[in-house]
Amino acid sequence: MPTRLSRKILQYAPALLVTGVVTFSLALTLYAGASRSASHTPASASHALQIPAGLGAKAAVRPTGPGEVRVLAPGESFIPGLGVHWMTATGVNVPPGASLATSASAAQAISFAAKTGLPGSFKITESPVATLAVFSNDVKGTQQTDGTVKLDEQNLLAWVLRYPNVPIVRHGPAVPNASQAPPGPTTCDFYFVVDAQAIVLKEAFQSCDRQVG
Amino acid sequence: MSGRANALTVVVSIAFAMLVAIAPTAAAASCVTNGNYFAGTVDQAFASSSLVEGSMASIVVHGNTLCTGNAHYNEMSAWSMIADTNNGIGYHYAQAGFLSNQPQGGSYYAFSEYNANGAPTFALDTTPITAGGKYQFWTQFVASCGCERMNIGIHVMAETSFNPFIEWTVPFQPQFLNEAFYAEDNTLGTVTYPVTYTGHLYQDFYTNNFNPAGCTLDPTVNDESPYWAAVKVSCDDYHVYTHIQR
Repeated sequence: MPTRLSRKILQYAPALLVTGVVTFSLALTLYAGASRSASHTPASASHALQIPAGLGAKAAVRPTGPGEVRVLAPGESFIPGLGVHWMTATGVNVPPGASLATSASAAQAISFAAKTGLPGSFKITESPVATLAVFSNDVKGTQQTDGTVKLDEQNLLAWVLRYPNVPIVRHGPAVPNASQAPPGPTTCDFYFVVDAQAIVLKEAFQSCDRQVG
Repeated sequence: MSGRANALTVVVSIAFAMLVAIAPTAAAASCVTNGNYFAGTVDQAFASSSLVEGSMASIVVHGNTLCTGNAHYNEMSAWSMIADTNNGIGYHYAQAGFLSNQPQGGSYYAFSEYNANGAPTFALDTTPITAGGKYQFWTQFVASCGCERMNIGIHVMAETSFNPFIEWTVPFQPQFLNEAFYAEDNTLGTVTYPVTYTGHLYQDFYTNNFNPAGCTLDPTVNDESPYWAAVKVSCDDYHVYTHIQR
């Protein structure tokens, strides 16, 4: 079994090998350019470095591309990137310490979410689809010194409120030809996740990428 | 001074006092032009940023007031971003920052957003952050997942569901900007409480380490320059704010 260090070395061996060559070439380019002008020349520099050496190694790490696929159980929902997934809560899968009997009602969760007045909840116009679920987020958490992430929410009994057809709002980037309409849909589902026991808002997000088992 | 002059002074003083008393407080401007409006820094030096795979800035959180009567959703935000330089076509980016729809002293929230196909994935951190607080907002290429991670401090908010080196077009470009959705909005920050960007770091393509961006960045973007300011105070210290309130 290769160690973490050896895996990293193997992973980046091609990049490390070409780094010296590229650095030397870049130094030569900058040296030559310096004699002509001290300013950057974006067009030519961009062209010269369009495909950085080592790109293949970087690209090989996660080959699945958009719409990362997760094997889902029947009734399970998953949103890649955000790493959130949830399964309808039943008497069988209720997390330890939680209880269906003492959970907030759907109406209470919806009322609570509506009162938060959070920016980013955009233009919600339709009633939500409320699901009492066992909810987890496999991405959000605190980075540890060893590189791992201590996750915030795992197996939380929560109301997942899915608001359909909420207009998308894009933040940035500063695009030179911003008048060009971006591709893709104009609405997506928006979600609030409310802790069903404590009635606390845990998540608010919007994505078009929900996968359903 | 004569009695007539004294009387005139009194009349003028009373009139001035009445004017001050009845003058309405400055009303926010009406929202007219919807879009994406920016102020701050975009690294145009592709020669260096072509080797960048992540970016970081420490941003001091402040608010301002929005225009009113908006037909579309409205808010203000400030963020750190890594973007595909071909993003005019693909809208490829990952960003971490904060947003608000409230004036100075209101509530502010960290958020993340990424995009590879024109439909962004957005997540709001539901724990409010503090006005006047300085937070590191950063995007980070993580080799183990082959993805771009969006962070506030040591807290991970989201990861791209794809490898940017597959889905985006190199070179990547760091951007550090205030954003508003109406041209009539006041951008975040005031003369007294500017939004400040410091501690700019770039993640190196070959080593994955974050290194200082240096002094070469300039706040060259300002879509509402008559009202907004984006100034370089010193090396690696940029202030963005509204200098003429509407």
